Amino acid sequence: MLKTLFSRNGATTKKGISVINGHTPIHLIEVRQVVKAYHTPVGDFIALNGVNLHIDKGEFVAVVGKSGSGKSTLINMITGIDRPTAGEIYVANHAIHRLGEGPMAEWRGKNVGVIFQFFQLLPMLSCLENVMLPMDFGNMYTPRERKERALHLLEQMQMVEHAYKLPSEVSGGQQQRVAIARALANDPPILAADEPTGNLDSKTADAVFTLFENLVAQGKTILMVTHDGELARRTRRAITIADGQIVDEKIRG
Amino acid sequence: MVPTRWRKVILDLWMHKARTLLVIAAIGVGVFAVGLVAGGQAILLRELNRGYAATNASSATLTTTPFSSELVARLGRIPGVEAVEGRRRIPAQVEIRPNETRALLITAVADFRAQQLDKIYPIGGAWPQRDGLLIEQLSLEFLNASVGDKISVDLGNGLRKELTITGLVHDANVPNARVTNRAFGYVTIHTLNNLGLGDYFTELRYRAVEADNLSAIYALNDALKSQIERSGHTVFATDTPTPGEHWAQEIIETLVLLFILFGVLIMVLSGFLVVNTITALMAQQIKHIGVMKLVGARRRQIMGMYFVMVAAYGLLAVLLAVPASMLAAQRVVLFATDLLNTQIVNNSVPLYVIGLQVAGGLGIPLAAALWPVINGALITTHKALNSIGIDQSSVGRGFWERLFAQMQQMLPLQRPLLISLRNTIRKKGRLALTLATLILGTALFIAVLSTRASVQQTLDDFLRYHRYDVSVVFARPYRTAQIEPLAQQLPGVVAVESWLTGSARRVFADASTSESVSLVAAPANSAFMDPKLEAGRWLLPTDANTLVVNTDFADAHPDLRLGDEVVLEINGRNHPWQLVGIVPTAAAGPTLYVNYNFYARLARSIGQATTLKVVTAQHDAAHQAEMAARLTGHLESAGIRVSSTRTTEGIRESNQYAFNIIIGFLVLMAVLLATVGSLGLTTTMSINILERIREIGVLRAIGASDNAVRVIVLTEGMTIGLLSWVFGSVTAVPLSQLLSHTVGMALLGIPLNYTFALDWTFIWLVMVILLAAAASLGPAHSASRLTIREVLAYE
Repeated sequence: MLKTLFSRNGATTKKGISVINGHTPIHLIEVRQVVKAYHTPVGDFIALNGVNLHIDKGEFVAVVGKSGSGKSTLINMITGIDRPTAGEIYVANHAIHRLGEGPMAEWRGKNVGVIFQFFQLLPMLSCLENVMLPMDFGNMYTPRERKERALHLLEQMQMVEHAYKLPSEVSGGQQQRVAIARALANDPPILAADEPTGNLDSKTADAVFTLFENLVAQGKTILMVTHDGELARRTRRAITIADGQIVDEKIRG
Repeated sequence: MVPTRWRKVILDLWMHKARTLLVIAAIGVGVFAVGLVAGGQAILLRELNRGYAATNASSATLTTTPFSSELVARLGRIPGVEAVEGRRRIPAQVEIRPNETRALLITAVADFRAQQLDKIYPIGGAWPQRDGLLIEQLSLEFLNASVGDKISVDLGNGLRKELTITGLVHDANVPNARVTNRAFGYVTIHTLNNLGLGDYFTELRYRAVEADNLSAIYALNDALKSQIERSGHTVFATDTPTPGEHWAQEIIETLVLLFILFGVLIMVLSGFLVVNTITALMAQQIKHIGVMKLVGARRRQIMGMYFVMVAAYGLLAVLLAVPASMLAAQRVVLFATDLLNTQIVNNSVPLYVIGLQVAGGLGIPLAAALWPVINGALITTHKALNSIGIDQSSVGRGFWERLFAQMQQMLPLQRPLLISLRNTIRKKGRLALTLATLILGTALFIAVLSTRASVQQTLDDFLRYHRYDVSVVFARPYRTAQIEPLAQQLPGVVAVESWLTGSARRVFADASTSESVSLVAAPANSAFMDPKLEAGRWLLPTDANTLVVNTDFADAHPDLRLGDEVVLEINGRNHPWQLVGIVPTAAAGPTLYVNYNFYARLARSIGQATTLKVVTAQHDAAHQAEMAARLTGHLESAGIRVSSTRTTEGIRESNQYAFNIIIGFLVLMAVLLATVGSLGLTTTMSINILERIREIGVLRAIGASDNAVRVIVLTEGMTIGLLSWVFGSVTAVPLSQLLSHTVGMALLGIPLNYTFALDWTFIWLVMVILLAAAASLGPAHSASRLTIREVLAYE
């Protein structure tokens, strides 16, 4: 039952989505010479300046840096939320810098779970429905399986007793747990989290981080933006960004 | 199980009830208006046409010397004649209360069962009836009688008879008695004979085989006239109405025109409102779209969700508005049927109207949603998730922005006021749609009330010919020395004046004559008549054969200039007159005004009067009616035979009756337009605030009090209201002139004496400011109640 429940029947790669034009990525995530410039009334602002990065399956990577250093921009590039001005990004065998907005949403729904500081749950849907939503859009699993899977994920996040509550009826930490469950809904290989503990107290932040560690242990790849040095030190790999460039990288044994 | 995304759609509709109601109201008001105007028009025209067709209207009526039914039978055999009937009409007076009479036109037919032309249909009482009087359905109340009553009827020449009202009929060819100030009754020729009035006819009515061919009808008129004259009779007049045209064709056309005009306007304005509302809805949903895209929603899925949501709004609006509009259309038609004397046999709204409403209620919102939904679905995930509520794109450096910057330097404007003014013009497209809705609403509102004021002015001007309270018409001329002191004896009579009335024909250079026109001879210095002058001057006491004509006469004789000599045939003799003035019409046809003294000599009626005008102590309708009754009784007891009486309030009332219906309809339309306008303003203010929620947080974070936030939002709303009033009032000037002209031409055949409703313009100013304040109050209150943390972290 659980095997069926957690196998992805809709994650087959569509024609045209995974065209890599001769390049065969070795790593799960490959970022090559990525530049991101924003046009502002006072001139161009370079958020990322020729960033190169690769992440392998099962890694837990922290991206740290000061405000405005470009760390969120980097995660937006990898999740396909934003697109690079120049450079190439390959994620799970997909050249996502070439994807259009529609195929990108479809690809993201199945391959990357995204977690934000402000949770981004839809306020009119219950916690359970928020978790079911990605499966619905991605046409993953049967309707009955969607509910069972969402309840199972909420149970994993210790939120099953709040499944039928609205997001506004639970605490910030609980909302973040629901957001993590939602990110896992379509069983994506990658989780990208942008300051996931930024809006939580230290105890709750610690609990969320422990969840991430468990997910990595289950084989997920996690990329987490944080400016919490303490949390960054708990990951195996920490990348420091300053002025749009990777300036330091620490790998712990 | 409902898929989660559709659950979101349902919950969005349910959880934002105020927004859902606003959108439904925006769509519903348009659907309602279409149903009201298209449904009302469809029922009215269908029933009018059905009723008119059922009468089998005659092609022409020839008025002759008395003839018998044998001649009718002979004339029916003339080729081209489909049907022929003899009729006779007798003007009579009915005593409705002691000493109070009302006019009744009695039409006599050969046999009700054998009617072929201008048919009347039974509604109640006995039918067919050989004896007794049948009364037209809308005349019964006018005669203050009921079926079964015996009424005292003065048939002229001192012949007074009692007739029993035996039944009620519907005659689609006559108007409401209150409009004509005359009731309509029907008897058989047999009854007339029994009353001692003979069993002959004086009118020949016929219908041509080619009933739509006017040339064929004219040819038949000549053939019938020759045949009648060969039989030793004289044809006095031939009346040939336009084939297929109802007597109230012009009123109907005006009503239809107004129906269409207002229907289209309300639909367009409601369309603007729907565009604004759906845009607002999508603006509110941008962040949700970002989240849905984040978790894998495709564009077509998002578009599908929002199109379904918009269709649901449309469907709900249709479900509410269609039945409401059906009821309203049936009610509106009832008012019009009272004016046009139509019987509604079937008041069902045709299916095509409902189809039109469904198509409009679903199609217009979906069309309005097309751009905002596609635009919303196309937004990038990054942009949608980072939509923070400070709208940078709209802060431009255009003309208005520069103007405000200059104003800031020149005027000591307070910063919050400046923020309000700048906010007003930030979304120019939205402002344009809101303003267009409000300006048109304002303009039409003022135009409708100006038309109402013009009606009042016109009726007031008509009454300048009737500066008295009661007019007593005698059955024959009486000596003024006898009637004036007699009338003055009656308590409550303040002043009296004797007039002569008659008729005249203009004699042309080739000795031919015009149609007969009315002639009024009042004392030259009469205070009982004070018409405005269109040209020339009024009559002076020293005048002899001087003549003043009304515009109806002047229009019919365009060759005449002031100072010209006009030859008039009066009592069979020709006299030269000098034209000295032209006065406005009182919608009673061409009329000539001359000095009493000169005319009395000419008509050999020196010291005599056919009419007595009386001024009473009080001038209200009830008092005038009472005085008319008392005057009749008083004069008749002294042996004076009174033919009829009329009060000036009665004249005003019968003139006003038709207008009241049209104005009532127009006011209903104005209220609908005002509703659309206020909904538009409410929507715009709600969107403006929603888009600027973060900005309000910033304002509060830097020290703006709750009140300051409220004032900024309220000022913005009131600025929009004020702008709409300024432009709407200006637009109202030509619009009200056009509307007054159209309504006047339809109901009176003359343009109304135009008056701009300045009082209502300022009342509307107060209303629109209050409306704007009310529309902004909700958003202003919500904005002021949000905590700084809430708005700055607004997700």
